[in-house]
Amino acid sequence: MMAAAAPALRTAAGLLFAATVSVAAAATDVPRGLDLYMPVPDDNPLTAENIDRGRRLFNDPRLSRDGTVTCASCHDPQQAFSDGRPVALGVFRRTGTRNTPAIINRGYGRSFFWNGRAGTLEEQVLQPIQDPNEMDMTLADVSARVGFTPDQISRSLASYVRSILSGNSRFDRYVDGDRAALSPAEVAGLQIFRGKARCTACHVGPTFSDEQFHNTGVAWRAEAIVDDGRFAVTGKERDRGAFKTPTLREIARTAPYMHDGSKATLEEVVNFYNDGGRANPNLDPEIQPLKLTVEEKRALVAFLKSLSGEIREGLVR
Amino acid sequence: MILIALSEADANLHGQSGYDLFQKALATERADGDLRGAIQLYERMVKQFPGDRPLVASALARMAECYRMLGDAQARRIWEQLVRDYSDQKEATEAKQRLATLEGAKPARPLTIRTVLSTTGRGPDIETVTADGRLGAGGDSSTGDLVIRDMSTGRLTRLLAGSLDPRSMGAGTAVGRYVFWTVFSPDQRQVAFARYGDPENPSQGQLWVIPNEPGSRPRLITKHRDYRNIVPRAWSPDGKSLLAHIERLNDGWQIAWISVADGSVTVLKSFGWIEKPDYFLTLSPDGRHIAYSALVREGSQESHIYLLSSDGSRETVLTRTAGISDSPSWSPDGSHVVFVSDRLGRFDLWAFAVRDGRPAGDPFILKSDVTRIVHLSTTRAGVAFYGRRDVARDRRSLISLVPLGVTGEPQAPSAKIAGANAAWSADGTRLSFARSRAGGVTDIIVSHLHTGEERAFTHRGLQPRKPSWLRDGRELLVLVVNDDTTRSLHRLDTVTGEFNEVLQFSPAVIAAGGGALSEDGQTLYAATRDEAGKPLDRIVALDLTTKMQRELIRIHDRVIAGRVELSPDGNRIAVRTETREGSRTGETAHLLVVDVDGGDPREVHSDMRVAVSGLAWNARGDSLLFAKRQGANRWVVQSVPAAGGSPVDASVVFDAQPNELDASMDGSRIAVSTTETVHEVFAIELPPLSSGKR
Repeated sequence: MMAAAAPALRTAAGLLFAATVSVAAAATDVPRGLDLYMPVPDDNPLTAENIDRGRRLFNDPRLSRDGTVTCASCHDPQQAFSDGRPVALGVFRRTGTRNTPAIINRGYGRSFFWNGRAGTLEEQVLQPIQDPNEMDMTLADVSARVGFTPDQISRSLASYVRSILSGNSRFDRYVDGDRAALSPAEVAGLQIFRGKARCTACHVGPTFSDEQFHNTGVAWRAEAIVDDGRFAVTGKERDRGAFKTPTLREIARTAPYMHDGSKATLEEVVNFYNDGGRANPNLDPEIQPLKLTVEEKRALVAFLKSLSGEIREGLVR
Repeated sequence: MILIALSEADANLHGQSGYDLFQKALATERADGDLRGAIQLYERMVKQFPGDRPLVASALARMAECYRMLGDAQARRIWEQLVRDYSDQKEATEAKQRLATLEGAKPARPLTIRTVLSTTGRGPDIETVTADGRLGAGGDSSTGDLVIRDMSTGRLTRLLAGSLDPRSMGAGTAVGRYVFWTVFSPDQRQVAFARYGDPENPSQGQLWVIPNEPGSRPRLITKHRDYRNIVPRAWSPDGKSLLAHIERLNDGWQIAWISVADGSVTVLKSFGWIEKPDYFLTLSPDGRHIAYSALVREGSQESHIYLLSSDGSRETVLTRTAGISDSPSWSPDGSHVVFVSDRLGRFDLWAFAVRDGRPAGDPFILKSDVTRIVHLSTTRAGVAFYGRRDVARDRRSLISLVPLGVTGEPQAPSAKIAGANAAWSADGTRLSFARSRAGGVTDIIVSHLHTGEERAFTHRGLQPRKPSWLRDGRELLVLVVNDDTTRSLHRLDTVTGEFNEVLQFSPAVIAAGGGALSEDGQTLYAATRDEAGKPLDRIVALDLTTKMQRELIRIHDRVIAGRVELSPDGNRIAVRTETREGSRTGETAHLLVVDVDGGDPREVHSDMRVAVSGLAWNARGDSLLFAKRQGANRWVVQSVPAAGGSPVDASVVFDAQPNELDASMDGSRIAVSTTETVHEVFAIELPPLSSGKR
């Protein structure tokens, strides 16, 4: 009964509220599984001009000091806006310290970067440009090169990033009533995801992220936390080694995993959580040994792979 | 804006300390939401940098704003200070405007609250009223029926029959089909409702619609294995879609449109476990905006009102004041959002002018001290219907003191006291019990029965659990829920009022109610489970010093229900158990007694056919008292020998289920705690509210 229902209602809702449909709704067709409401700052509404300019800037090598790196170099549309490397590679082949996050559905985000040091996308998009290990530019230099003010660059890139959406996965179709969309193993995996494995303690909602920071022990090496994570932002000891919950959408296309890219496969990730993460003084209490069987782990990975869907970016024409 | 005022020159002049302090205060105010902490920092700036007028003016302006958000009148004093002493600073201009707004806010004319419905016990509720005010609708909590009520005559029409077992009503325990959350269509010809108790999936909420004509057949709009609740809150103006609040299984909450034609769902906004939204979201009369309330942050008791455009394109937060702001509704012309808020320390009815989904003025009080109410419906004529929080239900707790040991006719209570879960002191002169007050705060009361004097003790997170007297006759064992959701048992000294923590524990392992404390205060007897999620199946003796556990009872085919009761001599404990099914219907009774030193438990009484509630030792410790259901609304207190035997009636009869029992030490009286369900619906005639007018 509910198969293919959501698009039908979207049309109905669109007609019903035609008088109030905003630029946001008009400019992007929201894929199934995501909320229609996406928070957009009042002072940077989603306009076609901004999205289009942001798209061009996103692919513009002039944003990097040596002219070899674009935003898309690390956030490759062909790899679900991630880069397939353990850690990012910047100008002059300088390497960063963390895994490039897949910037899909970030318009729904509440804080940005693995440690949440940016509170808005407008703030976030300017930081890689200035990071010596990424693009290594000053805003003044970039502004001179591309002919836009830093404020225009910020608003445009943020608008473009908001237009990058992933949804309409087989999981979404299953939730919308298409019971054939997932295989029996994937359905079993979904039940494990929500039940025994307690993944929804953190990977919750349309983006599969609670947008909070958790210490799973990935940063605990040789009896020490090797990356402070959220602590660098809050200064609170309990946040040392905590990182933002990443989205699980498109997870099959965004290996390697974890904030440091230390897990090459989903199987490794599941094994890590099955073992209860890595014990350390700040380990999140939600992280506990799961006692999953081999079959359950296999089903869980199968389910995670069903979260690959359709990625849309830029204006829907 | 404020930061601009702190010019580079200023910052350099004072080093970075003033600027840094201001940044820290802003972060405390905005990022942490700690308004009082921020006020302290702003005050520090005013004292440390008196010569930096721009900085001090900025700090004062922020301080005033913090006070305003706290509902504290000191905001006015600071704005006056800014106008008087800092007229050269730009903050003075805004302060003037703020003061002018205050002056212009005339006291609202008194509104009357008319009680439309007031009944006790189970029965038909009013959950929604038609736009013309003629009809109300709601579920019947005794039958599960969908009932239409003529609001002028009171005549009831049962539109859809339920099959609810009234004994089982309660969150997650209801048996049978029943209706909840009703809402009339704009043309009043249909009623949408949530329906529960599908035999194939009893815990699943379903969305149905039925024509408002007797004999009509309901139509299932949608059901979903992932949905625990689908709560319809409004129809779109064209009647084609339902605005609903969806609670997903293990996956948070959503605001969504649901097509009446095909049940398809379009999610407008999702919420994780962090900011649970209120059920009471409402649609503006023109259908363009949704007002809803949601918690401010994880674990917070505070809530804000938000305006979400009904196409999902925009959202605005309407209230930013500390405290609870919830139960939003719309004035008939859509020019104001009316809501309930405790921002001034009591629950008042407020209104906020809005235009195009944004605030268009400062909030003002419509009616003071309306208590904790929730909006049901507003008619076109501006009559707003409200019920008590929890959908027109209020639960009043009563303690009845009834003569014990008398045979023959049921005895009338010799006294009734407002409160719950009473326990007698050993000398029989005092009664300790719990009493709730506004805001969900629980006090523990000690009442001197001869003088009538009462003394209240309070502690953050105090729970309305039966406060057990310790053997010294001075201290009570009480339960506290801590901020991190763990529980703590405290010894409350009724002379000094001091609380001393005895044990902190996780309710996932030890029964949430705690347990009973031995005479020497060293051992806690408590019901536990092996791990979270497992049934409570063990009674252990926990040494509070060594934290060593000794298992006294392990049961295999049942679960432990209710409290662990220690005998007056401190040598035995009694517990009540029930089957898993019995925990849903209460249809089993099984009483066990075991020596605190160990040994096999003795089955004192077993009756698998009836529901049992409460458990207490008699004064001599040779019998156990409990309440047994005898009919739908009749409960009889019975006594059974602790060594086993047949129970006998104690001539104490109630028409409501007793929660707790406690016999006085001289055996002459029993304190019976019951909860009475009260249905109350109020009508408030809103004053004319339109744009630009109050």
